Amino acid sequence: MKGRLNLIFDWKAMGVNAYIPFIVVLVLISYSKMKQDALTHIIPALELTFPVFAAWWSIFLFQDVVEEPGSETLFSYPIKRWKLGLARVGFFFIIYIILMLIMLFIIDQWLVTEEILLPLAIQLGTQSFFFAGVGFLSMVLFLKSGWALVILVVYTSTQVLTRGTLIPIVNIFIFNQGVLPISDLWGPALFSVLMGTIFWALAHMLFLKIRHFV
Amino acid sequence: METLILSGVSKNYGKHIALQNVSLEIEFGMFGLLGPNGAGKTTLMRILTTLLSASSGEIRFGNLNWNEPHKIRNIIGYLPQKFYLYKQIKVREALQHIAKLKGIQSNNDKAVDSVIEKVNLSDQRDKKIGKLSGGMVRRLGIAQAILGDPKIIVVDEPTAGLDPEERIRFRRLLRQLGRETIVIISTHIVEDIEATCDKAAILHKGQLIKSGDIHTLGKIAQGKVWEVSVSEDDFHSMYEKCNVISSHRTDNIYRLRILSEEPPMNAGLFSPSLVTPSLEDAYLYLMNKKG
Repeated sequence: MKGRLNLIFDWKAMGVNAYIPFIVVLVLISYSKMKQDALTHIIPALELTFPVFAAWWSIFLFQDVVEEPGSETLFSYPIKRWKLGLARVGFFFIIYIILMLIMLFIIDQWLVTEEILLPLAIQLGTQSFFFAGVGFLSMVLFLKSGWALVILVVYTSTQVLTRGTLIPIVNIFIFNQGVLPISDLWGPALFSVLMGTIFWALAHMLFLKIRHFV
Repeated sequence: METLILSGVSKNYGKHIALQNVSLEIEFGMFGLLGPNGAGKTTLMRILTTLLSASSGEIRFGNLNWNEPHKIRNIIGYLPQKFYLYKQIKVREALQHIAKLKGIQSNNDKAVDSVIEKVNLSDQRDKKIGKLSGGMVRRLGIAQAILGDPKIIVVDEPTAGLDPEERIRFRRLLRQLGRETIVIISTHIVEDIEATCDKAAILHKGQLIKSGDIHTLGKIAQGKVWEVSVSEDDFHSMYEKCNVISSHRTDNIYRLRILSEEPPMNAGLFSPSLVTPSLEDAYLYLMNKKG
């Protein structure tokens, strides 16, 4: 027998938590409409909110897998661990990116006059990749969604309040108030992807070795 | 029928030895692993279910060896001590998902409906797991374990937290499973083993103390279990003086069951009489001896 994934089930199993990123997107679209064309407000709001919530699904996908009583049962099934870990996070990250593209398309087409789609897709997409890795890693490290959320909040709030000066080595925020030319985005984008890849890889390796069960 | 063979299985966590050189042969039917908390039962269960690997030793079942865990996972069903997953999901839907995780390709729905019926959860199939009672969740746990007809079913502390009625129902269910496969239950509740198993092994501090037929194990305490009747006045002093394992009150007379190498002296209204030891007596005797 070879175990197969069922991603629609994973979606349902997250319960109300599955819908939070959609609510965030709706709020961000509404905010952009409210601040119509004021990119100095819209871009910081998008940068400080949207990528952070990329960690949401990475965290709550693992509630049943590492946090709930009896989750060890899942590891006794003939399904490969990378499918339970990396594959699921990867799939939900792709959905998150599609969600981002839809959101940016709506803002780009109807709410601002400047061309924002491509530059913001690069900026927010790579930052989201970083945060999806943060969520995955913190969940695998702490095995509790509560603690994973604390890590997320502490990292984001300290970086935002100090404008990235507290731990500059892991700061991925640009704090721009206007659309940056794509040539200026490659550096920060590559940095986010590099840091994100380290976090994803670490989380994956740790997930393969989980021996502590509730 | 194939036999599950454990040869010299040990597990260390750094300097701590959780299991030491455990060798067992487990045949078709119900097998009990008995021991106090910290005896190494859960570690052994987790090794059997491939969640942990043994530090040394070998486990085999027919041609299968535990050094190929991906193959073993196809023949194992596991219910841990606590099982409470997918609270947001309905019973049938959760089991259908588990069937997919287990890689059951054909007749997925039929297999799910069959286990639901087997564990008597048909009326709850469309209920969310979060709305089930403790006993129902336990039965759902066994349903996921038997899905895919595993050859070996491992159940950790099967009746923990169940009310007496559910406990009896759950034991009956385990008995039924033992007719078709190897069922290993691990518990510190002797009654669970007595009620369900034909054979058992007793673990203490990671070591296998005894194993064998339930009745043979009981005989370990032969000639060491006494019954004596005492008045209410003597009841408390007897408890202090002797190793009383159980007591029953009838009117004003207490009937005590005492574990002792020698007959308890000056012991109450009637002279002490030797009784046939049960598995529980043998277990307590062994635990006393081991300290």
